[in-house]
Amino acid sequence: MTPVIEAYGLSKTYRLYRNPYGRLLEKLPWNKGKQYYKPVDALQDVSFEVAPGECVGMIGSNGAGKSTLLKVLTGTTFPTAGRYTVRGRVTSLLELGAGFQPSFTGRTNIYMNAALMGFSRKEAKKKVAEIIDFSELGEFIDAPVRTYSSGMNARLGFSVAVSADPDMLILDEILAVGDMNFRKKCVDKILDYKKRGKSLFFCSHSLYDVRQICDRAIWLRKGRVQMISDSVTVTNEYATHENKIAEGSDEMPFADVQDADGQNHPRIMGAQLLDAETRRPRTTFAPGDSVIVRVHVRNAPREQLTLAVGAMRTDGTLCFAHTTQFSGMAFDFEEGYVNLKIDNIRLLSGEFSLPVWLLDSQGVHRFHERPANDTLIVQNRTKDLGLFMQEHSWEIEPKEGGQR
Amino acid sequence: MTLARTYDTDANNAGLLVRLRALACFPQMIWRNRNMVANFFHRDLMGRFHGSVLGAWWMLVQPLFMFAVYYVIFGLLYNRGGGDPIEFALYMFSGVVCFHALNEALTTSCTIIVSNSNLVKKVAFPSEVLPIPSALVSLILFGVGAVVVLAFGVTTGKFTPGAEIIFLPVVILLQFMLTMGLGLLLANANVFIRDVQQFWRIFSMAWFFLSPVFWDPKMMSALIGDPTLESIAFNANPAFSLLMAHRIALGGEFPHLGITDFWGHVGVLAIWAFSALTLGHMTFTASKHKHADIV
Repeated sequence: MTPVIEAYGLSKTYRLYRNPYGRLLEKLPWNKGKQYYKPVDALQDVSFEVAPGECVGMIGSNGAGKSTLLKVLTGTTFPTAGRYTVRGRVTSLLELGAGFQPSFTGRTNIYMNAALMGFSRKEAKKKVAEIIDFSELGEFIDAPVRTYSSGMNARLGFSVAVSADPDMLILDEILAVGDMNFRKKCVDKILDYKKRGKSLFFCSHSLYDVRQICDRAIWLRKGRVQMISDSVTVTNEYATHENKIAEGSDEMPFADVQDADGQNHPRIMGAQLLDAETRRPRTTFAPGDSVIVRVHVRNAPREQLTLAVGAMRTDGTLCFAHTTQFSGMAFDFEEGYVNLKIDNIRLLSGEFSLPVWLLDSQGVHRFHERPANDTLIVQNRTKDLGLFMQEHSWEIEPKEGGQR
Repeated sequence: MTLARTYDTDANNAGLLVRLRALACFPQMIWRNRNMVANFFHRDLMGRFHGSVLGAWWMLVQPLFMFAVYYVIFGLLYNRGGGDPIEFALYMFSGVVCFHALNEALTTSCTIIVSNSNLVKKVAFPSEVLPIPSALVSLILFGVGAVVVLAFGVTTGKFTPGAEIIFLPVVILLQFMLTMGLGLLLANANVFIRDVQQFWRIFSMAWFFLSPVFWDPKMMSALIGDPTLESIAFNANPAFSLLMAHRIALGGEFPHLGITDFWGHVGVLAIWAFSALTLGHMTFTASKHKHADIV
């Protein structure tokens, strides 16, 4: 099938002029070769396709070029290099209520917005009731738009845009507005719209939305495409990357317990992650995999020791900590390994550092503590969210004759 | 899927031919987007009188009151040479109404892209339709003023409109084209150089006095003396032929004021209107892809 969007090598360079006359000055013949602006690359060599009926999400940090790409595809701004083709009727919602005229009523604004989107008055008239109904504005529809709250404004804007029933909907970050009820309605509308084989292209900071709604996702970074793949893979990679950045900025507080008199105390020499099946080093796992944390311990004084291993998500949440003490195990070898075997790991996507503690047999005195050499990366390929996946099942019980 | 929009930076260095074709399709484009234009027009017109008690009646009250002022001040108080006060007031008023319409539409057009930046940035639509509503509104204001002029002129017997009055729509169409052309030119220029809108205020005032509103061609001829210089001075000003054509269409010829030759004026006006529209439309469409990035 012919793609609804084809983009090849799209680049956009904005020119930031140092002063308002730069634009004029550079046109003058004696100023040839002088540059009065600072080029800012908003997009660089972006290529992708969107198939009919496909829903593509776009993620990336602020300033990655998401909005610029949406604007380019909408046709309000134009690329400095590359080409694109957009097929079919496209409605673009870069900002809710972008064309609204504050002093006119909601109803008048519906007609005006419909006209901007290329509707005839007849078509608009047919849709007005539906739009008003969907927007839940009720009698406020005949009040001036300037009296609306931002939520009402957004509701009206979204209602008008989806009423167009385009072949392709371009949305910028708009699911973030409105109350929960309306958000739900929007999502339902979008999903229904998807079901009818229409395409959707939208950007969001909500990885959840991208995962839930989109088939594929594009990760933009500094104006370039970092990754295009199925939405689960892309959001996973993106989240991992973001976490890495966060980690770089603030160090995990792991103070070594100071030795009082040299090296005679028990010490953790190192800890690494292994695949439980192959017994080979591995750091990236999926939920359900089996993991081994192998801790190298040197215990010159041959104390009775217990050992604990925890997992701490990058935001500082301690997800679990298991200790040999509670399993009734202690050891007193001079040098050896203690392996924590986790069958069927239940953590969901994220990056986890693994603190290891070496304690006395009572688990009170800490001889040594340090993080494992490896960090554990979990990437789930399902759409589940949160910290961990527990075994669960659902029961649905409709109540006979209950109210609603 | 019939609709497809392609943009190719390599192919976008559109030549003169493409621009001319776009210009030729301009009327068709306006017709296709008539609903949008009608809505903008509605917005302009309603926005102008929104919330006032008299509402759209202001369109009639304003010219009536203005005429009264002109009659009292220029007809009775400052009547040079003791001419007929009504005729003098009618002469000036007809000029003011026409020039005012042109000037007001152009002043609005100057800032039309900048003041609609939200639309230009966020909504994909052919922005060359933006100056149309203000041009249409100005024509309506002019129309009401013209009716007032005609009513006073005919009832006082000062105006004897000839057959030219049936060609008034042609003059109005040319006026629309002139307004659109200059409007597009100004709107586009003001995006890149904001000084245009400031400069325009001064310029339009000078233009007002350089146009035959307060003076008549006979008077100016006597002042200039040289016929070649006179012809250049008159025809270099599009407002000159516009005002003359309107006056003859509304009130007939006034040989003692030098108001003759309807078709000559219409011809000059047509040349002005077509060249202004060509220049305005071509510069606008050639650089409108930069608008959203700048405003």
